Amino acid sequence: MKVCIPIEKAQPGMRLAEDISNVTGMILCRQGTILTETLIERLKNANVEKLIIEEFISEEEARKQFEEKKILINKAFANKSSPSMQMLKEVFLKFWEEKYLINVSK
Amino acid sequence: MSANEKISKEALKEKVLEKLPTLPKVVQEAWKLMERPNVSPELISEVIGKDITLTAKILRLINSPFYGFPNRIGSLKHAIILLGFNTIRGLLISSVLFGEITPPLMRIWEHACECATTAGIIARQLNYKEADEITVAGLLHDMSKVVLKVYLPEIDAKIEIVKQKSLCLDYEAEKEVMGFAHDVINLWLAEQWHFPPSLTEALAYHHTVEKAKKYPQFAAIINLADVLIHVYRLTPGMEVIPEIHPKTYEILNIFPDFLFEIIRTMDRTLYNLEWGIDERK
Amino acid sequence: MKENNKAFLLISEKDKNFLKNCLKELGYQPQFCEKEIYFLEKLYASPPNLIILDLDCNSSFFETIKIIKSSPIFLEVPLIVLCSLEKLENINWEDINLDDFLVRPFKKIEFIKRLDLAKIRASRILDANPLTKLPGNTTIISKIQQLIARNQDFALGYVDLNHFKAYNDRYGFVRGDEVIKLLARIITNVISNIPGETFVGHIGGDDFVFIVPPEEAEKVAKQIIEYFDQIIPSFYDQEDRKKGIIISKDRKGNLQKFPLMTLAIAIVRNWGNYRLKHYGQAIKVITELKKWAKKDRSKSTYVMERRSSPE
Repeated sequence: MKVCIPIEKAQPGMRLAEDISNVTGMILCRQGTILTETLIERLKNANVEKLIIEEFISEEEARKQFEEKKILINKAFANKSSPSMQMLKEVFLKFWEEKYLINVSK
Repeated sequence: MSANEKISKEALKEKVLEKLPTLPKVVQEAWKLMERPNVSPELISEVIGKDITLTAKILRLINSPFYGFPNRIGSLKHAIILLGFNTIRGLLISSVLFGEITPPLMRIWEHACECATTAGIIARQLNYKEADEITVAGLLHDMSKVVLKVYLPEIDAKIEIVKQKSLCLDYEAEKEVMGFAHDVINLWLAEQWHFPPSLTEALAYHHTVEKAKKYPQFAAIINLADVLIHVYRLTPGMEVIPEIHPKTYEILNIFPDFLFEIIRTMDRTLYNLEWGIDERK
Repeated sequence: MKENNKAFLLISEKDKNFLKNCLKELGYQPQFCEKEIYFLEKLYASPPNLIILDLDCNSSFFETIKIIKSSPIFLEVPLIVLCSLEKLENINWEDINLDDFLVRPFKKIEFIKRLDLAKIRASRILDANPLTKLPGNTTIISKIQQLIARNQDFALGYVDLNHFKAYNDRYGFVRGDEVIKLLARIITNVISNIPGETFVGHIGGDDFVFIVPPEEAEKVAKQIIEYFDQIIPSFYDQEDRKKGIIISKDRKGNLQKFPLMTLAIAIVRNWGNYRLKHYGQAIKVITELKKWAKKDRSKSTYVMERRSSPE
């Protein structure tokens, strides 16, 4: 599951979930790279402020977060009965399910 | 003065933009960028395109009859090309003064940026050539809310109270307090500033898409982008979302798979945005 | 009295009422601005017919004056400076491009008469093209001659629009004028970023010239073309833009399809071994090159002579 963290919280051993590029679009570091002390320093010097890393969460945690999203969605769409809104609700539920449960066996 | 008189067309004249705050970070970054030789207008527009006030000022300026082609320019990049770097620098200098971006204003800025990004994503997925202009519409669709907060704080306070009490959208609370909502004020401002019709319709009709006669797709995209961001950013306690207009899917020819792709792309892209996402919880 | 006859003043409280009354007598609507920092923005947002700056209240606005007068748009707008006698001595007219100055203490009749004269004098800049305010033929010719006489290296570029007549016929001359103004702005802005001796002129209609250092010419041509091609579609109506063509009558009166407007740029350089002797020669070479640039009018094209080269 991908998580965005400020560079101050970066630790060696974390794995980059996305490429890091600077403001002109130049790629500084590729997706999949495992962070080291040196690399983190270099990124700090290049004024990188945030990183997207892979966070490994337990199956239980993933299901829990998905349930929370489901509750939010159901509440928000409670009185939205139009076909357009219903379609949107279905698509979002599907999206969150994929995002949280993709690595989890059903 | 009654509430209506205060917020009439005449009352909200040209002066409106002068006192609106700007993000200091945007000004700094833009200034630094412009010190580089041969910097592209595109890059500058990417930085400035994160600030509502600067973007509105630039578009108002280039569309003023003074430059000779009012109602033509809806792309921030084009506006920067046509105004020239000296003028942009002049605007940057004079924009540092007005007040800070308080937390309530900051929320409007963040939502504006995310909508702009999402609107751009939708436009590109649909292969629209005017992705630039649609992105600007996404950024400015709530500009009137900023105007209300800064210029008419008493009225804005009333709107906030209604929002908290009835747990409803800005749109509904505004209608209750003023009799009309921010989209109408958007229309006044856009017309006054000679914005191109595509941008004007998007700003004025993103809640009432059926009224967009010439550029329904623009209004529809902003409507969709606005709702998508609200749903994506749902938090416990504030589960209020705006409605997708009944005509939106039809106008844009949207099917569930397509919508799914848009949301996926939106999710990936927003991570890379300035505003740091999960930390805000 | 002109409608919207605004006068802009950057001034302190001193003499404010005096100025207000004088300006009102002359038919101006005075707008005061107390801080220099808002001045530029207000100026561009709501352009006045007269600008008055008070040197005594703000000593650091030479930069402001430079910015104002570097824009062809403000060429006809009189810029008047107010100051005290002591400050007058230190002003170098070469450094600031203003139209007149007035020294304190002010006398009403003198003040009014001077302002009136400044207004008339400004509108005597007849050579400026009324649409774009860029210098016209007389200035262009003398500029080229000047550079040739000085034996200076330079590149002369000639820009014109393809399919402009079709656009005018389809959309009318008001919109046609907008396109001319667009092109003028693009050329002016691209050139303003170039260091060294530069110049932009408007011969008339859809014909422009520019002068840049020879090593910059190609880059300038490419950039003008890039920006124009990007922006010009917005000047067409939706349906025409989507189709990429407009339907209009050709010179023989037949209905024809025309593509969106493109640019033809021809460049000759006074460089290295290749020296121009007379502006007439420069024009002759450019005219020849233009024919090549216009071979394929569906695309924006630039053509440069290849005879010159750096030594």
